[in-house]
Amino acid sequence: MTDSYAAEFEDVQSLRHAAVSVMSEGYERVEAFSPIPVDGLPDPLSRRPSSVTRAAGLAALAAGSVTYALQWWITVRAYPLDVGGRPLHSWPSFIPITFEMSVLAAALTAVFVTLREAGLPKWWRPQDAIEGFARAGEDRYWLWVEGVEHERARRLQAVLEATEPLRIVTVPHEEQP
Amino acid sequence: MSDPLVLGDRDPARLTDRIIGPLFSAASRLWWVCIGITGLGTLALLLLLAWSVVRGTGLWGNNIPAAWGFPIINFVWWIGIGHAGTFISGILLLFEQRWRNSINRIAEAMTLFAVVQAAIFPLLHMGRPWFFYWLVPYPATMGTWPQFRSALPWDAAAIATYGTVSLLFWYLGLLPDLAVARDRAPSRTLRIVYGFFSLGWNGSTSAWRRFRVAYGLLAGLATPLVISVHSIVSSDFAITLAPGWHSTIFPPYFVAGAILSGFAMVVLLVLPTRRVLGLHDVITPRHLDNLCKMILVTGWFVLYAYIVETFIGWYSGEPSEQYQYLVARPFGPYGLATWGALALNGLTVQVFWCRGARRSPVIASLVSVGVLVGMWLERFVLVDVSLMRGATPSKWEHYAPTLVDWGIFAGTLAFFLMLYALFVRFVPIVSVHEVRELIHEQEEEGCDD
Repeated sequence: MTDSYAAEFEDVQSLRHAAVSVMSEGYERVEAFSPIPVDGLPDPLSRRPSSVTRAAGLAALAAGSVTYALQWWITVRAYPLDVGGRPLHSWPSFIPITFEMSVLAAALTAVFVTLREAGLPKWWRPQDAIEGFARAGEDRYWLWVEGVEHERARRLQAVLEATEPLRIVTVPHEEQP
Repeated sequence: MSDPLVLGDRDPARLTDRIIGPLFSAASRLWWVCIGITGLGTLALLLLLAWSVVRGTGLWGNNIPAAWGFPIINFVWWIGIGHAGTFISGILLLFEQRWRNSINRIAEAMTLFAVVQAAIFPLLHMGRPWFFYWLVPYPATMGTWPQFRSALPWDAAAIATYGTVSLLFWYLGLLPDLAVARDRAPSRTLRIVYGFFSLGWNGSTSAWRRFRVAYGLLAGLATPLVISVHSIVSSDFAITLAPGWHSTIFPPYFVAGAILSGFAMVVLLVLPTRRVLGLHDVITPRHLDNLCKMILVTGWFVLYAYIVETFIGWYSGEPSEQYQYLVARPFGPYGLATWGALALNGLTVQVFWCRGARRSPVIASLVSVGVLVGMWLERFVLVDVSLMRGATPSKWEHYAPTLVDWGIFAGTLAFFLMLYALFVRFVPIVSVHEVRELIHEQEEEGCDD
């Protein structure tokens, strides 16, 4: 059996301090919640680097290549039209659409990969059971430690209390199947 | 020394109250009046569109040679206005211009709504808009394909991309604020609605980190789009041989004009919104000052383009170009429009050299109205005087818009304002998390600007 612990803080500095203390105790499933992006906070997923930029780049490359090839095939092979004797493969006129489709693919990929990596959409999480947790969207800072075994619980509470949070909440943890 | 970007009360909870609170209070009578008037205008627009589609394009003033008429003028005008949003959200983000934070949401919304208006016109101008899908390559049973050596399929790609990326950028930036609205919603229904659209955003560090990467990436992608969209629109003109169109100056000239009109529209939307909602603390004189400086700078780009295109028209030695620039435009039947565009885009904006004028809501509004009118006149002259006075006098024909033309144009203004009124009512109009971040950064750095 395990529990999860949530501690509420007044400001960024306290949150940072608490996060560092808890991480140094060896807890790994730690997440912080804040109304603004805060640097220097632990991110349990940070060991897995984000692939947003790479995915967007690959999508742009793929969409650009396909778009150019399609324009070439249509203009040169499928439906050749002689426009004032100009070459059929008049590549400069293929560039605008190639560029636009690359940007479109990159943007769509960036957004979808970001949502996937951030675990969105997800309309319910264990933290939502805590009364007042929503203030993490306004003016409070929360630290969340997940899956703490009962034998380590007392130690964790001591560590958290040393960082002087406004309060500590225990949430029974349900392991995901 | 510059003024602070956030005045007065900096407490995060009260800041949120002022921005998110109005979403849940009863709508004011003023709002209902706005929705009523713009709603009727939108209805009139729909009727005129339906009439135009049923009866055909003969209801408009378009003729041969002036086949482009009002639809293309209005298309270019609206898509130009849309540029300020992406400029503010993309380019100014990359340049770390912090003053963008409290007006970017309004500007991005304006972009979306302007693109909607712009998209109506080329579709309508087809005459048979139900065939719009012919622009997209698909294996037709007739064996025909789009012609990519024409600028028109480029337009379709550019506008579709621009609209989509603007929407993604706007929506991504909204997620944290929609989550705040969800948590503050007084009723279960509102909670569900805002909760659904916030996608369950909860401000976790991992989400924030990815959000930032994606936001920066989209800004980087949106930046070349700002430049490319109006460059492509200008190619519709520049790759054609009509006098006054066939010029390499067009892409930068169009982009500058677009940003000029876009910033003017931002000023005109931000000022009344700030007044009605009492947002003087987050939209300060310094914001107005910076917007007006942008109008002044882009006004100079446009003025320079006017001078260069006229000079090159004369210097080319081509009689139809010389006639176009030196006779048809300044002294032709629409000479007043030419001079109006010059005065309103190039001359009145010069008052913004004075700091007092940049910070005066009245002067800024008047000049901005002038710029919007002036940019519309510029497009009128560009589209129609060039077509009315083609390369040979045998092609000359007068063009005059009809009441239906004017009605459709006015209808898109109403539709645009209706969308904006709905946005102000139901969406957090200032980016709460970015303003909060700004306050936080300033506190950590111990400075105000």
